[in-house]
Amino acid sequence: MRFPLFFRRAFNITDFRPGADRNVREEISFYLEMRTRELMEAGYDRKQASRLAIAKFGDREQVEVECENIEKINTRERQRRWMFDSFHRDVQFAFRSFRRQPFFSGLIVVMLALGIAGNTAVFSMINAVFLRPLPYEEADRLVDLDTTAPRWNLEFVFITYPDFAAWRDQNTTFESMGVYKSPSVNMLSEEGAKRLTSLRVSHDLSEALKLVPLLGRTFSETDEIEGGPNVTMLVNGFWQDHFGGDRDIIGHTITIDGVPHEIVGVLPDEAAINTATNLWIPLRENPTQRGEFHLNGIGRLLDGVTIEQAQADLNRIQRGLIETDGAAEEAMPIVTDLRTRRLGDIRTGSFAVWGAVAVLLLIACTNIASLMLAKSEVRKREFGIRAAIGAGRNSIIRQFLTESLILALIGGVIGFLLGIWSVSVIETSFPLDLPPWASLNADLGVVGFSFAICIVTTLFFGLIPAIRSTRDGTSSLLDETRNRSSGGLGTRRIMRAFVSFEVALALGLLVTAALLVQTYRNLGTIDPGFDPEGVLTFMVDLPETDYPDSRAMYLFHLSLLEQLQNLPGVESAASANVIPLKGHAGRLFVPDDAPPRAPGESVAVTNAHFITPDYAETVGLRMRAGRFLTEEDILAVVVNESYARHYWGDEDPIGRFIVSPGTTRPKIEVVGVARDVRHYGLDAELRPALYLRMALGIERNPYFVLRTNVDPTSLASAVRETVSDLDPALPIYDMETMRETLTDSLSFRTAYSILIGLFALIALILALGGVYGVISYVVSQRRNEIGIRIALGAGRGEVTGMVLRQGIGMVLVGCGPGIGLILLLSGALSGLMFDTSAVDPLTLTGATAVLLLVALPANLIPARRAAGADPAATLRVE
Amino acid sequence: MGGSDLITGTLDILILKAVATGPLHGYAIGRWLRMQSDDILQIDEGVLYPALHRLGRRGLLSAKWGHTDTGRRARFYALTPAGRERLQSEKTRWIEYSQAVRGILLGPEG
Repeated sequence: MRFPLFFRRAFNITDFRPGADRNVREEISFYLEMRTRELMEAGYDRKQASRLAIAKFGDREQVEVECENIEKINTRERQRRWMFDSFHRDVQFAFRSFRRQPFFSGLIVVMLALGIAGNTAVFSMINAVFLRPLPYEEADRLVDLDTTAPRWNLEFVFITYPDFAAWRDQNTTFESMGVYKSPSVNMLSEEGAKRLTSLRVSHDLSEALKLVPLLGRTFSETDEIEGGPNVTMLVNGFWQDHFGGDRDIIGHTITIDGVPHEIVGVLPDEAAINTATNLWIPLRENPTQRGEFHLNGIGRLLDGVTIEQAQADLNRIQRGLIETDGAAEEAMPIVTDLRTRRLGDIRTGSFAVWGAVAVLLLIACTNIASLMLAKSEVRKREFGIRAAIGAGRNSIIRQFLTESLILALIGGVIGFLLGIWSVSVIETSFPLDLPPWASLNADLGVVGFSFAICIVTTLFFGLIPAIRSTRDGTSSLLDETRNRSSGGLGTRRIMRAFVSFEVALALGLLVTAALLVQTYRNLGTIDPGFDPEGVLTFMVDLPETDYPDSRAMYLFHLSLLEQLQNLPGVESAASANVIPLKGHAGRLFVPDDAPPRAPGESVAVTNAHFITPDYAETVGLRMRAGRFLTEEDILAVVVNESYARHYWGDEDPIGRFIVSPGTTRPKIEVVGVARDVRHYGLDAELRPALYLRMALGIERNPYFVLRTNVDPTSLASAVRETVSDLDPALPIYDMETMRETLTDSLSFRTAYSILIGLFALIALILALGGVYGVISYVVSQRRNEIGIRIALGAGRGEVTGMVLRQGIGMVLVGCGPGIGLILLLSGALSGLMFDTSAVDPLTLTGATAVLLLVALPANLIPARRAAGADPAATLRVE
Repeated sequence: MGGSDLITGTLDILILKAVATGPLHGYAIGRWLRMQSDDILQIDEGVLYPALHRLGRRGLLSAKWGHTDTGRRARFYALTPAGRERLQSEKTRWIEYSQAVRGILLGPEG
């Protein structure tokens, strides 16, 4: 084995082979010479004697090779023993020096452990969500299918079944594709009504995902025929929890939404695609009838096909559908990477957190490096002695690296365990809402990542001081006068650079955190358009078997609302198909006097709320003009500000009429304009919306909303009883206060803002520690100079000022690159901001001012200590 | 190598015996072997060297560069304490063994 040159030098590995060769050859030559002389004495002439000696010796070359081999083994053993001995010695030595300086070593281990813990924790989440392959066979060929309609002002509008059917039959780029939707269903069991999440799937979905059933069969095309036998497949988790993993379950029947379904198979857990799923039911759709946009799609590309090719293929098919099949011309297929699509909105935040925690580790390492450097100055004497008794520069570097490596490994192991532990704490105490396929278990990747950090950090903070402190040659190490007066100059320069570097990084984090806080504050001042306090919401699902038509459903609404209103503590009650932050009912509603649309002109999809008249009061909706709907209104509508602005600009909308193109609905009169509601989240854009009477568009799974004058959660059981009194087969689900919904809608932002803020705080503390440490060190190194200055008449204030200037100077030098860093990253960070610019001069100067302000005491303490030096004492030492 | 295990083993003991009285270089050991055995071993003389190095590796011999009486540089081999011990035990074993064989060979036939 050949080691790289640097390594061989450091570990003093030399090659013994040429030497061994020469020795053996010389030995044999000597033998032959002596033997020849002996034979000549016996009477042979020189030539004969020489020939005879060689003949009697046998195969010289073979003998040489054999001796050499024996020697080589010898050398190798010796070398190994020597290397082990010296490593052992280095380790022993390292531990001895740790024992001598437990505080110093402990500080390093703690800093590293924290840095590595943070990185391990964040990385294991990043790994689980972004890096590890999805748990499907050849997952890199899976893509998300959807329809995009930019002209409707919507990026994703779901897929219609006829479109899907055409894509499936006519494509040349997919191995298979399937669609699904995930409605909730009611299951009747001995324990009462139970709410389940089902996936209604086309039969090809299991094929696209390459899912193999644990038991039984998957769906076939015949299961999709309307009126055929009703079948279902259970997902493993549900099968285990609810049926105890009974292997004889196939052929049994469960009642879903009042209809018996035969269980034909059990699917692995991966069948839960993006939400917790209990069972699969075949999708039954009519491919010839233009349906709604309501399906999600997943496709498996043919081997070697790119997303762009698949996109072009589906576009081609869709253009045909628009021409011949009456498909909407504004909606086109869109193919995206499956993982990217599912994780789109958490990517920037997650990687920002990762970046922040990496910066933190970098600051910790820089601190450790300057600590080690300072310590190496102090240890110069020790190294000088070692050099004097024969240790070379390399062995001193090796000693440094051994010490750093041991510290890094101790810190690394503690940090790794801490990181893994904190992930499990986070997982159990905060609902992370991760996709079901993301398991947070630490795998080899996480272990390898943490180990790699250890090695890199070792090199970073071990090698620089090691090379630095031995660069002048080991002979100068003992020269004490030199060390005390000017020897540390270069070292001080490096340490100052370290501090500036740390300050730059810390400032970068600080500004980011400040921007996030500001974003958060901006969100806090945003008017959501509704009043979330004291409001309780829940859903019910009205099965077709018990509520066959709109009338039956409407009667249920009326009687439930009446009873809810009579509950003590309830001020008002209403029902709606969508409520703030929940749901979206995209419909086309345009002014009836609108000019016919030019081809290609954009039409905004309107979020159509079908509500009961008490809705405005219950949710806290406020009017801008006109009035809200009353019991007397039937063909009346209230539009929101965005809608009014979109269609009528500054004109007064009241008294105008709107129509729903493509339907038989009559003209509806606008009676009021409501203030905009932040329906898609406080940080999301406002879209056109309108409010119509519930009777015009009643749905099977409505929201019920209660405004209370008590703690809304205290009403939960009363509400359940009320519903159960009306219909014991109806389960209530998604019960939540509106305050919770609002908080949850910001939970991811809250999580990464808090994390980055926390990291910035730690970074600030670490950087200030670095400033303090370096200034203290510089002052101690310049003790003599300062003493002389004071002796020569320099005032204490002058000395304090001098040291302070230097310290603040270091910090200022770091601020420049720190601000540069932020400007550089502003593009990437802007995705996290709301109503806040990443290049906000006020925040930049504010954060810099804060940094300088807190850097002041870190500088002042050592500066005052320096000024307090007794000149007589320092001069005596000299 | 030119000999069987028996011969190798024998050669090792003879080498140890050769240096029992004091350090010798390779040629001197070879000459001593030839003289003592009247050349009955009938092996290539070169075999001596791998044997010397092997004994060195096993710690039975130590080797050191030195100078002969005539001032030539040569490698001198000497018994280590372990080598001396081994020589003693091998000697005992060899005598027992040869006596046993001798008893068998000289005993009544059939």
